[in-house]
This record gives sequence, C-alpha cells and structure tokens, in this order.
Amino acid sequence: MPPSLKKLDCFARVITPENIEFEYALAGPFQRLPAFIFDFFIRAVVFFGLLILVAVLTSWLPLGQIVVTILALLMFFLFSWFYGIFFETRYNGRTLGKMLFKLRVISVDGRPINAVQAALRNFLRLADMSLMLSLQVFDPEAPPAYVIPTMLVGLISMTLTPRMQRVGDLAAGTIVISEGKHHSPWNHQPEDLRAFGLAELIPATFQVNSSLAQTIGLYMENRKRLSTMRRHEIAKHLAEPLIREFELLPDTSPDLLMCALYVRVYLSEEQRAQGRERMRQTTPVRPMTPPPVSSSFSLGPQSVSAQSMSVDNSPK
Amino acid sequence: MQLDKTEIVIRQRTAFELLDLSLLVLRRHWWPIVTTSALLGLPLIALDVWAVYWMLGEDAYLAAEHLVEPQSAMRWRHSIHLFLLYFIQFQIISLPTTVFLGNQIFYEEMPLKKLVRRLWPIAWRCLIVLGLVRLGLVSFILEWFVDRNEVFDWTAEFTLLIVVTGISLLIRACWPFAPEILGLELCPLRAGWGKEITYGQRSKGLHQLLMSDHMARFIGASFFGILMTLMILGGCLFAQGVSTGDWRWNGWFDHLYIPVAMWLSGLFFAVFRFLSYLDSRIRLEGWEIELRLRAEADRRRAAMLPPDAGGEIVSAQVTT
Repeated sequence: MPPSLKKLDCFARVITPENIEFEYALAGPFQRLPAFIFDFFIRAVVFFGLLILVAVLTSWLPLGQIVVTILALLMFFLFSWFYGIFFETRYNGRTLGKMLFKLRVISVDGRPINAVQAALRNFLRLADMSLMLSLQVFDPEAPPAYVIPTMLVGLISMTLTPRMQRVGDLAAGTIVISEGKHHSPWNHQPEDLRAFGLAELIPATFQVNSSLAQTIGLYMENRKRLSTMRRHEIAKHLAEPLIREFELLPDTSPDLLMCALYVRVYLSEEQRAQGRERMRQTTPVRPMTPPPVSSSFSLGPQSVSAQSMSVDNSPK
Repeated sequence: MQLDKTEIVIRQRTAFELLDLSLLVLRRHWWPIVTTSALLGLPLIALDVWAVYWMLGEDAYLAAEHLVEPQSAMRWRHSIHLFLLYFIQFQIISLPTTVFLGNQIFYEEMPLKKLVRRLWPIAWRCLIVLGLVRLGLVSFILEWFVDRNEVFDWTAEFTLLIVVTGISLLIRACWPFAPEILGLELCPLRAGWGKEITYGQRSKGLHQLLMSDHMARFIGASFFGILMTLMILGGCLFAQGVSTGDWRWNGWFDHLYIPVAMWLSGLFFAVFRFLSYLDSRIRLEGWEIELRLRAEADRRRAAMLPPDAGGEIVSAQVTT
C-alpha cells in the first residue's frame, strides 16, 4: 500500500468562492445520532405538551375532540417537516440538538446554508430513513404500510461518500461539521524557566525544518497530560542525539531540552528575553558541578546541567 | 517502517469520532477486513450455528409444548444463544483483523499467508487468554452440555447465559484490548530471560487508568452494536419481504440473517476496538508524540551519516 494514500481522518478541506481554504471536522452518522435523538425528543415533548394544552383548553367545546385531532395532525405535520427547516435556516445550520452537540450544517463550499438547502435536506430525511419495513413484520394481517425505518440508506450513503453526506446532504449540497475546539502550538509557555536559559545553548547554526517544528509543537501541546517519567521516555528519543550534537552534559533533562527547543522555535526574541529575565529573578544559581547522582533517571528541571545554568546566568 | 507515516491520523479523538472513523477505515479496507474476519469468524459461526441447531427441531418444540407459543419461544432461545456465543467469541474472531489493521496503519502489507504465519507462533497464548480466560471456547463447550429435553436448563444453560456472559461482559468492558496486546504487542504470558513485559503487566498498564473510559465506551459501543445489528436484520427482512411477500421471522432469519447481521456488525466493531486501542495509547502514553519524536530522531541520524553510508539526506533549510 503506497504511503501516498490519503490519510484517514474525519476532516474535509473546503475552498470558499473567495478561494480561501478551510479545514472542517466532519460529523458522521455516530456524531449526528445524539443530536438527532435530542431533536426527536424535543419535538415529542413539545408536541405532546401542546396537545395536552389544546385538549384542556378545548374540553368545553362540543366538537373538542375533533378540534384536538385536527390540531394534532397539523402539529405533527409541522413538527415533522418544518422543525429542521426553521432552525437550520434561522440559526445558521443548527437545530437545538446540533447546538447542544456543537454541530453545524454548511454548504459544500463553506458558505452558510440557505432556506432551500435546509428544506431539501430535511424533506429528503425520509429517503435516508429507508429502507422501510412493513407493519406486517409484527402482524401478517396488518395492512402493508411501510412505516418502520431501518435508516440503512442514510448509513450506507454516509459510509460511501467522502464527506459523510446522507442523501439529503448530497441533494442539497451540504455537509455537517463538528465545531470542537482546535489546538494551537503557539500558546505554551514552559513552566520551568530554565528552558529559556537552555535555549541559548542551542547552537545558532542549528536549523529547524517544518517537520521538526511541528513535532516540537506537538510535544509541548501534550506534555502536561503525561507523567514526568513518560515525558522523559518520550523526549529522550530525539533529545539524546541532540544532546550529543549540541555537546551538552549527558544528564541534561530530555524534557527540558524539548522545552528549550520550543522556546527557540516558537517564541519571539522579545519573549525569550523576557523569559531569561524572569529566570534570573526567580532561579538561584546552581553549583557548577553536575548533581552527585546522575543517571538516565535524572528527570525534570532538577537535572538541568550545571553547564547550562552557568551559561544562561551570564549576560548575553 | 517510517514511524510518523501512518495511514490514520494519530490524534486524540472522542468515542463518536472513533465510531465515524471506523466507517472510513471499513470503507477503505473492506475486503481485507472481510477476509481476515472470515478466517476465524466463518468456522466459529458455522460451529455455533451447528451447536444450537437442535433448538429449532421437533424435539425442542415438543419439550416446550406446554408454553403458549413453543415455536416462538424456541426461536428466541436459539437467537439469544447464537448471539451470546458470537459475542463471547468475538475477541478470537477479531484477532486476525486486529493484526491486519495494526500493520496496515504503517502501510505494511499483510496478505493472508503472512498473517497466518504471524499468528501461528502466538496461537497458544491467544488460545489460553481469549479461549479459556476470556471464555471464548469455554462457552462453545458449555453449549454442548445444555439439556435438550428441557425448556430451560438450570445448570449448563444458566451458567452459559448468566454466569459466563456476565463474566465476559465485565472482562470485555474493563479490559478490552487483549487481542491488541497479544497480536500486536506480542506480549508473552510469562517473562522470559529478556525480562519482556508480560501480558498481565501490559494489560494492567493499558487498562487500569482508563477503566471508566473503557466501560463507558463499551456501553456506547454495545448500544450501537445492537442498533447496527437490528438495522442489518431490517435490511435482510426488507429484501425478503419485498421479494417474497413474506415479512415473518422464518428459517432464513434463524440460519442466515442473524449470523450475517452479527458478523457484519462485528467487522465494524473490530475496527472500532482497534481505533479505541490506539486512542488509549495516545491518551496514556502520548503515543502520537513518541512516534513523531522517534521518526525525527531517525531522520536526524540518517542526515548525520555520510551519503555513501546510505543515509537519507534531509535538507537543512529553515522552513518554519
């Protein structure tokens, strides 16, 4: 299998008419199902609530039952067909369920959907709920009414289309996206200020390509959820060759070196200078000699080499 | 093997995202997943169907004749037995698919022959863990001890339907990744001279901290699994109803539709469990970061070698 195959993930690239490219997290059938169930529940509650209210209000009328029946049919029709259309048009592609589960319907070109698109995708929901089973499944004497949905068409359609679109989405030219939070590698300050000092020890000639920069960013984004031991284990894969390359002391903490690389790659010169200044104010000078027990288990900030401390306390 | 060249984007995901991603994986690799799943799945399902076939026979109906609807009662009994046997044996059935997927994400080809060669040396430990400890084969053996003259056998049948199923549910909900530990990480049952991490140690490390997560996912997956099986059964019933006009639960339903529906939804959940395993490793061990760092280190090492040493030369140009 060639590595050139497109990577699998629930993402879609959308190019807007203004030629701007966005990447959206697609919502497939399983992300949509809770929103669908919630919307169904809301509709059912409102429908039965209104029905009871109407029944109570019209109980004194001579034709009360007929009025309730007519209103029930009318409400059922409106809720079934126009709930989705109303909310998706009014609230920019979101029903109440979609708001709750952070989903949104957009056009395939990234623009908000319009009323026609909302109507089309909601009217075709019936097609997505097919194949419909006959009532005769339960009773052979029942009329052949195809009313029990299997939803297989929707599931198969979402599985087979690259943007996970059901039949209604294909017809309306829409996709459903998930609006979860996005991560950024830019907003991470190393809590150990000595990373600013160690960053100054990285040779000026050391060049960072985009792949390495992304790796360092990824490490900083995620290191806080890892134990100290695991950080050490992971970071040493890259840190060990770099420690040799930069001629640092062998017991330099791999985690701290990764933080120093982050400082070097992602922070501006001004931020680095501020960091060094804060470090001078808060960190006492450590002895020049390496710690008495130095091993590969010298983890965390305590194992920053004496060499690095001596250098980053000197004026730059 | 390039460690950061994975076919699936390695990142943390929610359970719903994993379910959606399972569909994408299934769409792309449907044929290898079907064949690897059939490797152990078809023989075991065929054996299960054979083992419970008697429940739809005349003798079983006679034993249940005092019930209001003996035929319907026996049909339900047959279906429940078949479903539970498949559920308990699912970890064995999905083992080849797991090994295939584990290699496929690093773009390493795994044809069926190679897969069998890979599974052969670990067959014994898989049999012990998945067949005996996780009751996959125990359930099958127990099925043969069910008394055929009783409507409900309070010894073997009770043990199978309540005790074995209960234990299996608990094990699968709390410690779901046995096939991955055995088939992909190749952990032995006992530490040898090399002091390798044993199956037990690895299982503890991988499952203990995320046990509540695993249970929640198991409950969610069970809900979707039942839903999906019903949807497929509905599809089969639709095809039968439209083509023959017969919408009833009949022999085709018992002998074909139920096993097919279970097997098809099983394909999906083998993929889902594998993706959940990746996600657990990402959450617990920062696996995605480790892969990236190791790949970067490999690239730097290769770049340091002189060109005649065969190292890959990487441009040192700053591109940040």
